[in-house]
Amino acid sequence: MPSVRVDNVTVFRPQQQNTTAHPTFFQGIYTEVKLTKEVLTKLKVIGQFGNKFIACSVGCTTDSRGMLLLVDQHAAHERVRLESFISDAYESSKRINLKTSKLESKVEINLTKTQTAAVRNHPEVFYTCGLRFDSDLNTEDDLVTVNSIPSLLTTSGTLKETIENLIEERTQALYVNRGVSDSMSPVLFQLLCSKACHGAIRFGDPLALEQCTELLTALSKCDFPFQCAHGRPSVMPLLDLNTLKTKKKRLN
Amino acid sequence: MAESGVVVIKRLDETVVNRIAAGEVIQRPANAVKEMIENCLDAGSTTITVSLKSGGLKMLQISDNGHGIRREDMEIVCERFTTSKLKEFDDLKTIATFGFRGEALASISHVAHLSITSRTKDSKCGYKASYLDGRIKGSPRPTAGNTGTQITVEDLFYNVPTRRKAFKSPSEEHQKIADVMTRYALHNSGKSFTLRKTDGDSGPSGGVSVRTQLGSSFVTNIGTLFGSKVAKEVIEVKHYDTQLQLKTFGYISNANCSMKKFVFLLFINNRLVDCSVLKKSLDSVYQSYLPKGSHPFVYLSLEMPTNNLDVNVHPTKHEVHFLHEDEVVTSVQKQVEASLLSCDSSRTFYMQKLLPTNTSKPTGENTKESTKDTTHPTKDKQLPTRVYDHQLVRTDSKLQKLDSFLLKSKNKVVEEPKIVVKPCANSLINVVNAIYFSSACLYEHIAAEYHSCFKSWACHTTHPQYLLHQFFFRPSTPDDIESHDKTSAGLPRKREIRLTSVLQLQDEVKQKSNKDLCLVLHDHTFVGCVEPELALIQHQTKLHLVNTGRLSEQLFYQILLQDFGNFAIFRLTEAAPIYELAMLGLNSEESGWTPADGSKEKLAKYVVNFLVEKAEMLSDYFCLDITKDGMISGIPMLLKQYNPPLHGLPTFVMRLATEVDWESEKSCFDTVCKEIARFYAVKNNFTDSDIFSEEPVVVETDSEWSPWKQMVEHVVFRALRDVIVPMTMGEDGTFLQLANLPDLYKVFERC
Repeated sequence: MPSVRVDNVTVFRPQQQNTTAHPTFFQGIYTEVKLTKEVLTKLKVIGQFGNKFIACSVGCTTDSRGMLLLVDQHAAHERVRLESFISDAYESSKRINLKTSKLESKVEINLTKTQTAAVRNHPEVFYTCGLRFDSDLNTEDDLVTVNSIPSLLTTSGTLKETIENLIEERTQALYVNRGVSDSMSPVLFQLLCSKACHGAIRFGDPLALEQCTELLTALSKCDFPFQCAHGRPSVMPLLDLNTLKTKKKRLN
Repeated sequence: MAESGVVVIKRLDETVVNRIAAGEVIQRPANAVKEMIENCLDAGSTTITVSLKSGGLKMLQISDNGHGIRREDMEIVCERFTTSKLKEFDDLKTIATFGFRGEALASISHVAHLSITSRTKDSKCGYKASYLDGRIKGSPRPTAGNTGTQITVEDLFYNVPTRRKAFKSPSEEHQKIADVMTRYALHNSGKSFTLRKTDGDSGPSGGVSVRTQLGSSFVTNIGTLFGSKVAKEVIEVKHYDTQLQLKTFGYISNANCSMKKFVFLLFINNRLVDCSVLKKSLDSVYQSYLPKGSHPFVYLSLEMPTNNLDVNVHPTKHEVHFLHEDEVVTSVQKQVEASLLSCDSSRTFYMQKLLPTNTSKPTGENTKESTKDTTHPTKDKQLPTRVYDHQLVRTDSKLQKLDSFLLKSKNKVVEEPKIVVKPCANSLINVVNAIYFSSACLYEHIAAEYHSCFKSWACHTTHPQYLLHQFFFRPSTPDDIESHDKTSAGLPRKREIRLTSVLQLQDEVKQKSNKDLCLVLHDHTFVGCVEPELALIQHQTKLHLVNTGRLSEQLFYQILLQDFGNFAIFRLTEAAPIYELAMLGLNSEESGWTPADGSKEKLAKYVVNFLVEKAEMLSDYFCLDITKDGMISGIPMLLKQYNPPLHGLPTFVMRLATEVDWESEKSCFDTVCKEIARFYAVKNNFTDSDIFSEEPVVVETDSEWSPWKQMVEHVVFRALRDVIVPMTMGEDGTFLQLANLPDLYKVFERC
C-alpha cells in the first residue's frame, strides 16, 4: 500500500510557555513596528471588538508586513472630525484667515491698556482669527465692539468669555512671539478639539462593517491619523501575521 | 563727609574690580564648566572629561586632548584680557571661536584655586602651574602628562562667602553641570564627553552621569542622553534659507512623542544660547499637534553669517542678538512645521510576534467567576462591586445579528453579479462557490449560468479542477428524505445507536474537554474573520484569535459521533467517479507520490475497488454513498447550510482508502470520522480571496459580504458554541489570547 501523506491541516505550536502562568498580554516575543500612512490605506476590516475597537488586518506586500491591528473607534473618529473642522474653519485652503460670521447682537468687550494698544496697532492679528471690530475704537474707556466672530464659535452663554480669552491670548502672542505665529490660536483649537470629541463615535456604539470601513478610509486621509485630538494613539498593531504564517509552515 | 551728605568717589582697588567681574562671568560652577568646555573645543579636543567633587564647589577638573598650552604662555594664560583668539576689535565681527574675551580663566583664578597641567604635541614633557588672582604662582614645573590640558579648580568662591553660602546643595550644582555637558555632548556628537562624580557616594554607575562615545551619531547620542523613547521619534531638519543665508540643522521630536518639559537645545554658530522668542514660537507650533500640557524635544543648530550676530551682549555669552530676528524665527518655525507634517509614521509600537497560548489547566479564578455569574446571580447583588469602564463588556454573546436570519436572501443579492464575471479560471471557482451557497430555488438558474461559464472557461485552461463540474450538489429536497426513512408521522425517524465503540468514542470526547475553552466558545461574541482559517472572537474582556480550521474539524468530528448513522444527505447531480478523483489526488503535490509507490493508474484502481468493498458500511453509518461501479453519489449533510469545500474531495478519497484503520471497529469509526471531518473542515483555499491578496481591499465593499464569511460566522461559529474543546487545544495554538481590555485601555491611554 502506498503511503500517501497529506498534510493540509496546519498545526501551529508556539513555544511552550510556563503553563501555570496566567496568559497575559505583552508576553512572548515582540518586534518594533512603526505604522505608516500608507498602511492605513490598505486596512481591511475584520470586525468590531467589544463595541470599542475595530479589528482590521493588512496584507503583506513587498514593503509592509501582514499584521492585525486595533483601531480605537472613538479616537479615530475624533481625529477625522477635528481635521475636517479645522479645514472648515478657514476661508480658503491656504489656511490664513478664519471664516467669520456677523453677530446679530454685537458684543462689547472691556479691554486692558495693552489689549487696546494691540487692537489699534495690529488689527491684522485679530482679522486673521476672524474677529471684526466696529471701527470707532474707544481708546478712552478701552471699550471695543465686536460685530463678527470666527464662524467656528457658537453663540452660547460663554461667548463673551471666549472672545475675551481670544483677545488676551492673541495679545500675549503678539508680545511674546512678536506676532510671527501663524498657527491657529490655542483657544480656538481647544474648542475644536472638544467639539470633535463630543460628537464622535463613543465606546459602546455598535458599528456595521460598512461604517467601520468608512471610518478607516476617512482616517487614512488625515494629516495626523495616529493620534486623537488629545494626542492619544488611535491605531495599535496587535500581531505579526507573517511570523504566524512562517511558524506554521515550518512546523508542517 | 557724612555731614555734608556728599559722598566721595573713590577708585576701586584692582582686585575688587577683578573679583566683581569674575562674579559676573562665573556665577556658578556650571558657568566655569561651560567656559572651559568651550576652551577645550577651541583647542580641537575630541575627548573631554569632567570630574566633580560636591557639585564642583570643592573640586572641578576638566581634561582634554587638545593642542595644549605652550610653556611660554603658561605665565600669562590666567591674566585678564589675554587670549589667543582675538587680536583686533574688528575680529569680533567674524569671530568663530567660542572664547574671545580672554576672561574665563582669569575670572576663575580670582575666585578659586586654579592649577593647569598642559603639554603640547611638540613638547617633551608637560608643565604644571598654579595661579592666584590672575597671576602665576612661581614658575611652571615640568611634569608627566598626555598631550592636552588638564585644569583643576578647587574651592570655588573661597573668597566670596556670600556667593558660596547661596549654593544650597551640591547635587543641584551637579545637575546644572550635567545639563550643560549634555547639551554640548549632543551638539558635538562624534566627540567623547564624560562627566564623572568622584565623591564617595558614586552609586552603581561609578558616578558617571553623562557619557558619549567617540564617533557616535546624533541619534545615538539623543538616545543615551535623553532616552531611547525620544531617539525613536526624532526627525531630522535640514534647510538652507538663501535669502537669510541661514543654515538650519537639527533633530526635533515628531507628533508622537511628548515630554513633560520643553527640552530646547539651541546653538547659534555652535554657541549654546537661549532665545525665548524662538522657544515660544516653536512651542506654539507643537501646541496643535501634542496633547495638552506636553512639550516637544527640539535640538536646533543655526548657522548665520557671523556679521549678523552680536555675541558680545553678556559676559557669559549666554544671550546673543542677531539681525532679522523675526524673519529667522518665522523661517525656522515654518521649517519645523513642514517637517512635522511630512512625517507619516506613527509612534513605535511593540507588536507581538509570538503569543502565549491559553493555559490548558483550568484557571481557578476564571471558572469561579463564571459559575458565580450563572448560578448565584442573586448572591452577587448583595456585594455590589463596581465595574470599571475598562472591565465593562459591552457586547452580549446571546445577541444575534439581523443578517444571520437573512443568510439566504443576502447571498442571492451577492451571488447574482458574481455569476456574470468574465470567463476565466477564477470565475469557475466563483461560480462553484456561488452554487455552494445558493438556495434551492436559485439552483437551476445558477446551474445554467454555470454551464455557459464553464464551457468558455474550459477552452482556456486544462486545469485539473475541471472535474468539479461533474458533481455540484443538489441539496436534499424533502422528497429525498421522505423516500428514505419515514415514520408514520411523516418525520424522519432517528435511529438509536447502541454500538459500544461509538458510545466509548463519545465518552472520550466528553472526558477530554477543556472547560475553560468550552466556556470561551459557548459565550463568545464573533468579531470577524481574518481569513477562512483564522477568526477573532471576544469572550468577556478578552480577544482571542482562533483557528477556525481546527475547531471546525473538531466540530464535524463530534457531529459525526453524535449523529452517527442519522445524517441527511447531499446528493450529487452527477456521481463522481472515484477513479478520476484518486488520479487527481495522486497528481496533487500534497499526496507525496513517488514512482516507488507504483503506477498511479494501478493505485487509483486499487482505491476504487477498496472503497466499493466498504460501500455498504460507509453508506449505512456515514451516509457516504458509493455506487457499485465506483462512483460517489452522495455525501452526508453534517451541518445545515454548511457546504464542505469540494476541492478537498480527491484528497479525501485517497486518505479514506489509505489512512483509515479498517481492522478494529472502534478505531475504524474513529479514523473515518476524522477523515470526513478533515474533508469538511473550513480551509484557507475556501475561496480565492485570501487576505494576502495584493490589492487594496478597503474600497472593495462587497468583499465584506463574501459568502464564506457569512457561512463561517453564522453557520460554523453558531454551531461551535456547543462544541467540546479537547484538552490539547489549550496548548497547540488553536486559541491565542491577543488582547485584554484593561491592557488595551493602557495602550490607548484611556482611563
